Amino acid sequence: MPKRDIRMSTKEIDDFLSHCEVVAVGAVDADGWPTATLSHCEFRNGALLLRLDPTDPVAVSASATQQLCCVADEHPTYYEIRGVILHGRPNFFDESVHVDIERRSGFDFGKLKR
Amino acid sequence: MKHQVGLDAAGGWVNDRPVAMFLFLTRPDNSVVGYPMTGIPRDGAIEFTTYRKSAKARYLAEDDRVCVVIVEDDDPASGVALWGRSRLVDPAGFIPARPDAAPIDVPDGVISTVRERLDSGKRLVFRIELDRSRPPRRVVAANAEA
Repeated sequence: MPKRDIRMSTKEIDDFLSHCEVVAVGAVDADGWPTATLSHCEFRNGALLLRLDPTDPVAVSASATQQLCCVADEHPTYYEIRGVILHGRPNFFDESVHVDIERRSGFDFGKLKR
Repeated sequence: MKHQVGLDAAGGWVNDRPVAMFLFLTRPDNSVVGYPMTGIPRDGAIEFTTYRKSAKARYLAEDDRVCVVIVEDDDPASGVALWGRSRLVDPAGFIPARPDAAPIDVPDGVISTVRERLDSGKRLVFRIELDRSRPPRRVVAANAEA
């Protein structure tokens, strides 16, 4: 049996992000360890804005490496599990981070039933 | 005082209830990647399963260091970040989440399929041993309206 394609389209990912309020944000620190925290987010006109204290260790690492990964999901029921993973470059403005999204992917378990 | 997703004040687990978590890894090119996962706390560590051929299994074979963010059930804007090293363990000892204990109600058919794929070797069990030199850190998303 062919494997079901549960990937989300770019529009589906953008729709998901448009109502997303919190993401997990990760970066690699100076020792090579992954490090992560939570951030409120806002997605508008194709741009992701994070509210992240610039002194937070994750912000410091993301600034140093100019690279971060944001992950968000929802799981009200098994077949409503959806998740999105974004990779991008951070631009810091005070306590806001504008993420230039370079790659995005998403999955939707609801597609397992279709 | 609010519970901190199964951890006591010293960072020890107070129960083995499965948790929704975000798993972050360092890839061979020194970039970061994260995945939403279900983790099962067990004996002070966290276990999860994934496909043998998955990207995360390949990355963990190269670098066993992980950061996990576990979100509060009733407050998705707060949780705890944990650091540790992952290793493969015998899947025979893996106990899937009980339907009434998991963050979501996983259909019986899905649990059976996971068990079959663990038995056949298509899926692997990773165990994250918490790193005592990197203690858990409470993480809270700052209020966007503040």
